[in-house]
Amino acid sequence: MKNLKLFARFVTLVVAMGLVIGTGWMLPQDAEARQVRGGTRTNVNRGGNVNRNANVNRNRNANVNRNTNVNRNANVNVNRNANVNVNRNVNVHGGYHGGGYYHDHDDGIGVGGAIAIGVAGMAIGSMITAAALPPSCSTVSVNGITYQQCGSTWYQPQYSGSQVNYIVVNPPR
Amino acid sequence: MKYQFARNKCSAVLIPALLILAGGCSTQQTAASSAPEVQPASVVDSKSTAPSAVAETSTVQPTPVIEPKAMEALQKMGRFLRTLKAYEVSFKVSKDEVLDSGQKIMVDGTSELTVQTPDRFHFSTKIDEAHRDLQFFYDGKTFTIYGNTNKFYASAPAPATIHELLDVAEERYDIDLPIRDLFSWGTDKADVAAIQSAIYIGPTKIDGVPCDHFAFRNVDVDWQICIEQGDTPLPRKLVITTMDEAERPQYVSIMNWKLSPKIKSKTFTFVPPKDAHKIEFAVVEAATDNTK
Repeated sequence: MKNLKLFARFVTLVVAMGLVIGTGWMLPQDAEARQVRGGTRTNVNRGGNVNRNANVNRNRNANVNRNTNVNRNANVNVNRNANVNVNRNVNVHGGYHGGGYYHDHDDGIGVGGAIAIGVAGMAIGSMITAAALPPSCSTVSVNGITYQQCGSTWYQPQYSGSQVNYIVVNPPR
Repeated sequence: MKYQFARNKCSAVLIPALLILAGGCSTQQTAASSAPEVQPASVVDSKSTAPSAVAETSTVQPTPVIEPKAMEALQKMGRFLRTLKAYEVSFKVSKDEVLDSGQKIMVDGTSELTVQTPDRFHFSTKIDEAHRDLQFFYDGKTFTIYGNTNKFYASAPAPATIHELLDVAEERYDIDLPIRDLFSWGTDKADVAAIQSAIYIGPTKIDGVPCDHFAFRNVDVDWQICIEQGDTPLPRKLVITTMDEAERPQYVSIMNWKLSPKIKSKTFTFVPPKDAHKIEFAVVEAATDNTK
């Protein structure tokens, strides 16, 4: 009789542990940031600078392309932040407040991961992706400008490439 | 049959090259019949490659092949594309996304393009897995991007032609629309000089439409195209392999064309829905800084 009770307890324990482990497995794995590198070409022909070597006026374009590469470096930095899960501001291109340029991949999959979640106290001018916005935000229009208000933190959304990013701004009101 | 060109070209090789290539050609003939996936080792086209150059390189590594047939097909397609005034294209797209680990994930999407040359298009693109659902409007005066999900739009004054607009979108706003090729082929914007290799693979069918399959190599991309046979030589399928990325991600686009469709003029002009919000473009400003 005693043995049976002991056995029953043991079984309960095992089942309970199994449940814990099992539900642990079932937890959404979204917390892992799946950052995507850009770079898959979707056009054979490059931008309007194909003939740049033959055309002096096109030199400007060559420079533009070089800058694209520079921006890709910025992207690498952002990804690194995401991987180590640093919950800090992703300050891309410091010094470009407001008009800064940030290139996260246009259509990265699963960008909804844990990428530097925006927190109060982020520096003005910091930029985050849509996925990194805090959960409860509202779109607010102040003096014709669109903001995203998340608690006491205000963001100004902008299109960086085909993706909307959010820059931390001073509260407009 | 697919690789018959390999055999045909062997007989066309110039005499100085013949001695060097003799071994390679006989190997190919066996390969063509038994193992079609084997790449021709050194097929040389007599018209495009000087015999002396052949003698120098062919013994070491395969000489790139430029088959006139492939180049002509490309030009013919380009010329035909440039005759089109208005059209619609539906795209079925697959694209490799490269994770930080280097793992490639292929995502699928659809796009719709409506064009009225020279200064109007509407392009919508949807890749669910990439959380991407966008529309692009260009009416000759204004360029607008609109997110169907987030309801944000940004507009900017636009140049006078589709070509110029695509350049501005890429250089100023970092928006590289996957439709550039359709407007480049058949113009001096198509970088024909960058083609290092061009071969005809064989006939095939895309969505039941008889096509010819060609394969090209540029410096930074390998690409394949299936061009419709007959009077309307349209690109039906495009495959681009990005060669300067270590993982060599691919982009596949299957196109369905509707020539001379009925197009409403308001298709190209963005009218913001009531719940839409206007935001700004991030301008690629670093460009001007670096030129100083």
